[in-house]
Amino acid sequence: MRVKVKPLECTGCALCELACGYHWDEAFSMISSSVMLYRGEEKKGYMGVMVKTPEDLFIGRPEGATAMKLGELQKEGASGGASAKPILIREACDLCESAGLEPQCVAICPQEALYLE
Amino acid sequence: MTAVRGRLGKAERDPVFERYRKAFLFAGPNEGRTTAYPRVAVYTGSGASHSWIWFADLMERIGLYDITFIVESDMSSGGLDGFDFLLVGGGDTYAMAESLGGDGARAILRFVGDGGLYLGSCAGAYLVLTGVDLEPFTPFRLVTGEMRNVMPDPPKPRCLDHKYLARYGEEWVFHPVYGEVEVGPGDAAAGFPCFDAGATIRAPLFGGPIMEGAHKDEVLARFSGLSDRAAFLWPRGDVLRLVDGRAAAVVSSIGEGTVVVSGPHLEHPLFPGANALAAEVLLRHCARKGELGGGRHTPGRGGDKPVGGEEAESLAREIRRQVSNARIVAFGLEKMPVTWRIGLKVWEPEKVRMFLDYAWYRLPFVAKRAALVSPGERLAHLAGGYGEVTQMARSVKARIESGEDSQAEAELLLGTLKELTAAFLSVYFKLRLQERTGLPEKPRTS
Amino acid sequence: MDFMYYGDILIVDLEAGTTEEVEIDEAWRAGPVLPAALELFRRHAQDNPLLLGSGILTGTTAPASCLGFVLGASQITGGPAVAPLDMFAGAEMKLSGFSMVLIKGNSPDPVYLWLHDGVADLVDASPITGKDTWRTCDAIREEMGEQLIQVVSIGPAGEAKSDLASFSINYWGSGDNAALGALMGAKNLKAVALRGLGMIDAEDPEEFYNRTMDLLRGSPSKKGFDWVSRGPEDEGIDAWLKPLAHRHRSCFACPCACNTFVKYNEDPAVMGSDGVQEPGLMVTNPAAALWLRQGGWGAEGACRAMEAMTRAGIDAVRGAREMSTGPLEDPTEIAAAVEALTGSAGAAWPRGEGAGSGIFGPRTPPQGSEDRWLEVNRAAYVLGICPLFLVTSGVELSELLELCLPAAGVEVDAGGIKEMFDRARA
Ligand code: SF4
Ligand code: SF4
Ligand code: SF4
Repeated sequence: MRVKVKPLECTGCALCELACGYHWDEAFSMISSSVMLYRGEEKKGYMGVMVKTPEDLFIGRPEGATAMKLGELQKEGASGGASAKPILIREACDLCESAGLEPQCVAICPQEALYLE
Repeated sequence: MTAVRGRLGKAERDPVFERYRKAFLFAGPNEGRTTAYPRVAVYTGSGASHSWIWFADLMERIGLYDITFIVESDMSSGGLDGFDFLLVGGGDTYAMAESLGGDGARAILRFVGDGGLYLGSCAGAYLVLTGVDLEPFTPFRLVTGEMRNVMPDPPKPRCLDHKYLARYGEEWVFHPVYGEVEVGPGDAAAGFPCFDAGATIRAPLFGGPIMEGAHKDEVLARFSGLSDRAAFLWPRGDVLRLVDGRAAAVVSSIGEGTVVVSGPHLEHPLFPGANALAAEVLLRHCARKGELGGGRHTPGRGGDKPVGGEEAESLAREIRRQVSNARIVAFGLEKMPVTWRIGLKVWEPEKVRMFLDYAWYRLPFVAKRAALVSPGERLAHLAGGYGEVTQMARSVKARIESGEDSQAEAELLLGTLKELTAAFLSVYFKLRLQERTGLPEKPRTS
Repeated sequence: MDFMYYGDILIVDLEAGTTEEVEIDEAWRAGPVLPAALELFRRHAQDNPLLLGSGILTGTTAPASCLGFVLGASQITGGPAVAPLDMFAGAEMKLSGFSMVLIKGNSPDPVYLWLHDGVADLVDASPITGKDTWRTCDAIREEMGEQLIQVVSIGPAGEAKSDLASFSINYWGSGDNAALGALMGAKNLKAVALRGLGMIDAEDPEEFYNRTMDLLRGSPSKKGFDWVSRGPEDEGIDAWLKPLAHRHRSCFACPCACNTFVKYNEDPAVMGSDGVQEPGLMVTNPAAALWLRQGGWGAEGACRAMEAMTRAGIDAVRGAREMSTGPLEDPTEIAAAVEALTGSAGAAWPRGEGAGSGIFGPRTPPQGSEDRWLEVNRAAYVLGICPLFLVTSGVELSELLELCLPAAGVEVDAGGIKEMFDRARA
């Protein structure tokens, strides 16, 4: 089971990031969540949502949603090589199990843009 | 403790560290206590990636502040004299072996022979295993151990292709699982509190060796299970068959010295149980020698001139300004590989913020004591350095955004950051150390 | 008991070009940020201060906790006026590391204020002087290297201290209907840029979080403007904009999404980002759209006019009222008409039109009585909850007020808030 995104339903409220951040850090921030709202192209009204898992990244961009293996992503850029370590800044999604909660981003999303499958 | 919050802060405050803080932080007699306080060298030279910072973090958690960050040239030029522990984290084993060369290897041998402790994780473990052939860079062989994760023709991975393989002569070193694993005690861990009552601990395996061949008495920890918080490059059942019961960490005594190697990163800051396993080994090494630190310590140099209060404060503010500026850019960089633009050139951008975070959370401590930093130019060096880092990060980001190749600039940025982080942490730990000498003999109960 | 204050108070002296951090003293602790800001406004009246801050719940999982504020003397009302810092700017204000910012005096040279993680920098703004708010936002984000920086800026109208001036938030129109943009212009303050990577703590995080989750479950999740309209005469804006509508956007933590992104330089159905760089506008002020529609404007012309006004740093609502009677379609003519408005004077805060009272602007729809209207606005700013959401979502004000206990360890009720305001202004 994993968290998936219906990108066109998303309105960019960032509540999913806040809920995920709360589950990891028991505080409110948007800097350490496993689910990430992409809102870097504001003038174009372009935004999407991604979810990091141990093995891949689910990318919900307005043009379509897809899971992308981390290796494939790296191939788009330069490779860190086999010795590269995953960094701890953002944890992979654990479906909120470590906090003993139901998946919080799915529960909080007001637009039902996130779902489990 | 640092101002780290959230899950990292929680891990940092885990009660497992009390035992070690009590033993180390308050080691030695009240007068001149630093003479019995272990001195730690952390390798940050060629081949070292970023996990050396985790070692520094772990040392801080257990009250060891006498930390020096060393590079390959320090090792071969007698720079290991006077240290009690040498910590070598992850990275590129070949690059490490090549840069250390025969001189470095001999320095490590001499260090251990003289009663020092070598703790290597991941690449730092491969480096000293007898079963690892690093010709022409040997002799590093200090610990008996064969790699199980080697084969001539590994099957195709399920995921994380880019993390799966590394060339090893005619064969391949492969990593069938990436992330959290479970380890249980080996014979050498008898009586270790972290394994009390049959407990197992969690630790992250990021490409480290899965070992066999060590004497049973030397096995410190064995792989005992898997976790959902990992990527499985092989089917899970196959991974379990490969790792189950194999050595995850091995400890070996050489004369007065100790060598510890671990596949998983025992120093990872989100795994207090694994941290405690490493800490216990350090403590036992000291206990075996009947003293904490063995009086090997050479007192630090004194007499440097600190900068004046106002100037120091203004430099500390400038450091804060620039680290904040750089972190803000780094946060944006983090998401860049997933801006889904074809032809994007990025090299692990998350690392940029990780390096900066380690300075950021320690800045309030340094800022409060900036006037004590000596020599004063160190603050000016940091302020200038972080200013440069901000500019470099901005320029890397601008290049990525405009679709230009940023590989070379990003490497330069990360190299600069690595040096600067070591310089910052040196200042930080020096201040910590100064503060420690003012501590009362017994721990305060708070 | 610190009302979720987050960091010190920053005092910026534009004349001297200095910044100073001051701890929140006990007197200021007597109230949450806006009442405290009013008190500071009074104390520093001779310095013609401009203040920015956030609310108790701003930046959390409380529904629509997007709100911060800008407070200053309005040249069109003659008294202190408050404008909302919404979208993501209120949350970034909180995360900027300062509980409140007091900007006093006028700068001899154009500057912008860059607030980041508890650091305050006055930056030379001469390269962006004269630029519209879009170019200003682009330039600041480019200079600082991050697209998520929130930029509260003025355009040529603010620089000209026009009565119609309004600050923009990033590229979009704000709820500054009191010409606080002109105050920024008078101060030679081109922009305030905000960004922080901190964390906001609650007093009892679990209790707070669980309660906000319950409130969110009971909140509507509507899109578009019709549901926040003031009455039947307002409705139909969504249908009017529909041919241009691309997507709806929420402000920070808002379960609804009234903001509507429209595209007129590109097919609104284009979802990718490879096409036109500036495809359209996020419509944030339904009242502006309404004025133009009522004046016979077509949606595309109206959106172009709103874009031009937002870029020039003109309050789209009052600007639209000025322009409503002369509908235009040609982009060049629209640009010329908006330019002609830039220096215009005299368009007053539209009081007496059913809303707009005391220090608050007319954005919040009428609430039956002025007392109730004031109560809602005061509470909205103290809490940091969007007033539009507050009055249209059906979420009870009392439930939001009750969040203050687990959030900040303080009990706050509507009567207490009124007293705080009365005290602050006494
Ligand atoms: S399920 Fe939980 S851990 Fe996973 S992305 Fe959602 S909130 Fe984060
Ligand atoms: S909570 Fe839902 S609507 Fe809000 S940003 Fe996340 S996915 Fe989008
Ligand atoms: S109701 Fe509209 S203006 Fe208010 S917070 Fe929600 S999206 Fe923003």
